[in-house]
Amino acid sequence: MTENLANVTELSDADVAEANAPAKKRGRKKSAGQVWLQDAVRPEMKLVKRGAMLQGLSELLWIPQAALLALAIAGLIDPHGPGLDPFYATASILILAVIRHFLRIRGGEIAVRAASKARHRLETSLLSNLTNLSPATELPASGKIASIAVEHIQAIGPYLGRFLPIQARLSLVPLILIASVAYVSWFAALCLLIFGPLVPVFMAIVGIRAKKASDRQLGVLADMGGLLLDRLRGMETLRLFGAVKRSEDDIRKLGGDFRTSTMRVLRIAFLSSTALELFSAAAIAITAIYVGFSLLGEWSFGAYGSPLTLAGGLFVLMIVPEYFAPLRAFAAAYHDRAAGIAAADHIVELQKQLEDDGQEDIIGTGRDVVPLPATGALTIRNLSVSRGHRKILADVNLSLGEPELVVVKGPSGTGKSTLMDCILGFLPADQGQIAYGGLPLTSYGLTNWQQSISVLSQNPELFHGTLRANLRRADQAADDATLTQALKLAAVDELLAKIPGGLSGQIGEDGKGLSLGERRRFALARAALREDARLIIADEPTADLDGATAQKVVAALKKLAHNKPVLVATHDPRVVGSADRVLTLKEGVLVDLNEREGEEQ
Amino acid sequence: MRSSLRIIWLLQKEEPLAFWGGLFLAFLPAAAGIALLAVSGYFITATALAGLSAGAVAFNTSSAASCIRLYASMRIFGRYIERVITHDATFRFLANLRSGVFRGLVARESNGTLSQRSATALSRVVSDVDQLDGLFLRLVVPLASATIITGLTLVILWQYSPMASIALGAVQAAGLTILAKSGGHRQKAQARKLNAARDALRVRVSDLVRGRRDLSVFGGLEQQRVAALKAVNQLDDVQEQNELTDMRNQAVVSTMSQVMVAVTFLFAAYSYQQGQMELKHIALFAFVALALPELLISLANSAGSWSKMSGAADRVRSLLTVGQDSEALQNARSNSETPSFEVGKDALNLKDIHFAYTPKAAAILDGVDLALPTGSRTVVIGPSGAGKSTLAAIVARLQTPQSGAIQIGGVELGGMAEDKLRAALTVVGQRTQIFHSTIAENLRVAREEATDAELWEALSHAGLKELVEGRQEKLETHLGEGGLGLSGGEGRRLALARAYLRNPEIWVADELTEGLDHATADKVLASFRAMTRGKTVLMVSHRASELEGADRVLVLEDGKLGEVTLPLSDEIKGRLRDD
Repeated sequence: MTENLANVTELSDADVAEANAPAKKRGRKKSAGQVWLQDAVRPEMKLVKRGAMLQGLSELLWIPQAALLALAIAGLIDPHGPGLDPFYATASILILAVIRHFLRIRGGEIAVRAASKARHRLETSLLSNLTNLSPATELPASGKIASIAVEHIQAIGPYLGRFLPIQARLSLVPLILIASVAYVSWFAALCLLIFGPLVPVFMAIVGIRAKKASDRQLGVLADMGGLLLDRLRGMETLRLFGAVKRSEDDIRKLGGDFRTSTMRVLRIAFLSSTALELFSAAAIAITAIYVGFSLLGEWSFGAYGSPLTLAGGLFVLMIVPEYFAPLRAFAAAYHDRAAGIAAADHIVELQKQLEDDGQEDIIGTGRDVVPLPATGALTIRNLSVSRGHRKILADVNLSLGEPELVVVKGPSGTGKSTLMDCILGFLPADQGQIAYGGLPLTSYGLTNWQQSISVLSQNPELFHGTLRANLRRADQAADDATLTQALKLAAVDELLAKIPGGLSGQIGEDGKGLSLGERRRFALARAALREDARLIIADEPTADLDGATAQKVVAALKKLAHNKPVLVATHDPRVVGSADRVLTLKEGVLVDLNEREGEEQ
Repeated sequence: MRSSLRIIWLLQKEEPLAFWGGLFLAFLPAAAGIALLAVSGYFITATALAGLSAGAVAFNTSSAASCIRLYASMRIFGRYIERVITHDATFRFLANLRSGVFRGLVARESNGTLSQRSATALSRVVSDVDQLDGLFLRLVVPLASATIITGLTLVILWQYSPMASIALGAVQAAGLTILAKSGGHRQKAQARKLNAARDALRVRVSDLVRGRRDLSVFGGLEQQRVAALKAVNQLDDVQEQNELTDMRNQAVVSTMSQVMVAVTFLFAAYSYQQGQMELKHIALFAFVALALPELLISLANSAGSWSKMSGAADRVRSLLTVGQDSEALQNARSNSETPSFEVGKDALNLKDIHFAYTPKAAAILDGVDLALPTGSRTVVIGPSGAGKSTLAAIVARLQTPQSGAIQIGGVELGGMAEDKLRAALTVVGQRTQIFHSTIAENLRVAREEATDAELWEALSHAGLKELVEGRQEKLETHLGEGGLGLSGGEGRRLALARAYLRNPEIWVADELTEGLDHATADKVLASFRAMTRGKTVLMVSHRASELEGADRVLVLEDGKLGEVTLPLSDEIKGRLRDD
């Protein structure tokens, strides 16, 4: 996070430097998020522009409305000059108001819907990227990804639906309004021409600082979210050590930091809107004074020879606030842009991680897929794997075909889990080959192969839902009797009594509500349910289980090993004791220990 | 609604100066904005009339011009100051509110009502706090200034033309009603739907990320993706509706301003023709009508989030109340006696403890009696799920039993001050939380003022010294989410080191060596024994190796504690894992 922040800050420094450079260089460096965002929303840009056009048209209809009103007022005051009947003027203004309303709503709808469509597309593609990922990929914390999927993509909506249409309008509406003022008085138009463009210029200068400040603010915000979640998870520990009060203070302090950094952003934002306010108020004041003195006859310039009429003066004065309205809207929507781009930066960062790890070459997915034989032998030949510079597995050979209980033992960190990951196709091998039934795993397709194995992982994941739904992940068609039987096999059938609702009872994410041992045994039941599995892999199946329950689990594994090979990674002597074959993994080398005597010492 | 008012009232109490000052300052520039346009319109018409009568009327141009200048500068600088003041006060208030909410969450968790929910869901409650900034900034301030200014304007204009001023008021009121309606019932349902969809998506995505290993083997990936997509669809639908509502609200305000101009002008013209109004005031009315709806723009922008805010306010308030209650409870406990531990007396005494997770569920503890003499070592064994960990949690006041009496050092547990309890007793074991922070900070959770030397001593007792010394940044090494960078055993030992810094009289060890391999477990046990020499120890275990050196072994079965004679029978040994 900090690193990323540093990058962003660096980039903004570059931005500032470039903005200050006397040579006007086109194409300022854009952040990766900005570039990505522009590409990502391209298909919707046309719609957004169409919406913006309708809304712009609605804004421009103020010109006839103002003219009608000015003429009607002037007509009342000076019956000899040009004038309009008040009733007709009012009626026409109202009719125009209705038209404007519909134009505006129609345009708004188009823009909002386009934004929604783009957002939807981005979310969908992020989700499919996530599902296509190799499971061994190291990802940022799940909470962070969830918040990108939920909050950050949402932030793109306002950028598209609000900011972009306003930006599109900005290039047209003020110009036409100036032209209409120029028709009456070139001097007033000149005033607007001078004050108007100053607004974006000033705001752009402020905006560069604003981006820097808002990056910092986002950083503090993320820190705060992280701290809160961290402290909430560790609530129990904090209570035990009487540190709750201190955490409250930490949170308050970070809240203070957040306030300071937010205020830094806001002060800049307020400054830019103050500038806007300054220019718009000054323009109104100057126009009013100019029109007033012209009407008094003291000033007689700026209106093409003939003196300014009252109707003309009123018209100009009414256009001025409307001239600044789109600018004001632009300023107000400017933070949508900042938020959208900041969110895009995060998304790009994640996307990059997802792409880097989209290793399709581990086991081919799209290539010709051979159906998996019903029986066969798994053979590992000369398998070597390293992570980074560390060699984890060196020249491992293993063959599994007959129904038997095979144990791989060795202290933690020796590569037992890596070996399992390779068999599952989660990790690529540097050298060597893993084959089933004589063909390399690549021939069967990743998904097919994985779904033909049953796994009891070291840290089994249970999902939000009922017990039944969790079990049926292994076998969609299993009926309740089969499920209960599997639970019995794994010695976890007492869960049915413990959890209200039995099989229909809910368990939460992380398997909340189950003890560690119960989760593991529950996962064993799930693994046992897949009857057509070619192989069962279990990683430390008896950790956290008491003696009696551990025995039951070993018995269950033994029973499963009557039908198919079961490969267990463990250092629990009781599992080792009931194994048909024991292998030891030592410094990446797998040693077959068929002679049990050697182990006794 | 009531909660929102309550929270606004709290803000007023905590930041009275900024609250009332902010309201006043918000009023000034808004009024100045209207006055600026009105005076300008008036000025032009008046000059036109003066010009028509060819200077016959002496018109005071300089005073009108200086009015315009005054209003213009009031508007510019008043706005800036007002915003800085109100925002600063609001964020200061929110920072306090956030820690109050945290206190409430901790209190609620300890009552056991929230234990089923995950921290992710809890963090949403915290994000509620962030939504509350709009309560003052986008609701109270604009609403108050809109109401006051509209009222004031109407009173002033009443003197010129009652009819036109009524028309003006009627349209403004209609606008307010439309906005209030759009923030009403349907919006409330939408807000609920939005939250539900957001939570669903969050759960699905984090399941997808965390469980992708199991999912890819058991074939739930596609299913999970479909479920996540469904949540996405729902979320986008509601979000789109919300954005459309906001957009329509803004369109309504803008249309209203045109209607107001037209209608007000018509009535003003009518009044003039009836001879009830002076000519030069007509433009005044038209320009006031032009400026008045601007007051509603900021309200229109926030109308969509009113119901969201009120929902958030409800949740925040209930947590604040819980937090205050727990603080009150702690204050009431604060002058409890200090527990004293004398040899020959019980350091810990439990009598007839009954506990069940819910009133309907089967009792986990069904009449447990337990006395630990000061300086004794007791081990409780039993099958998994028998309630051993519950017993440990009850002793540490993390769970409250339905009935029974507990005394620590002769003091009733229920009335003991928090700091005295935590100084006297600590729990190490099953669930150890490693914070996303440095090793030093993780240790200092136990004792803030501990020196580095003390930290090193604790680490060496826990058998972690070599490991930490091997890291490049030693004590300042950062640990990731859930203790990333430490293995399970190392995390356990770090927790042990943390407890050692506390040095309490009573140590409760809950499955201390679970998940550790044999060699490491022995080391951890050895350092635990060294740390707790002479202290009162209660160990909860299913491992034979933990029984060594125990004065007494008890079995927890069917909710009751039974004595076991030493040495252990083979039948008991068989139940324990003796690896």
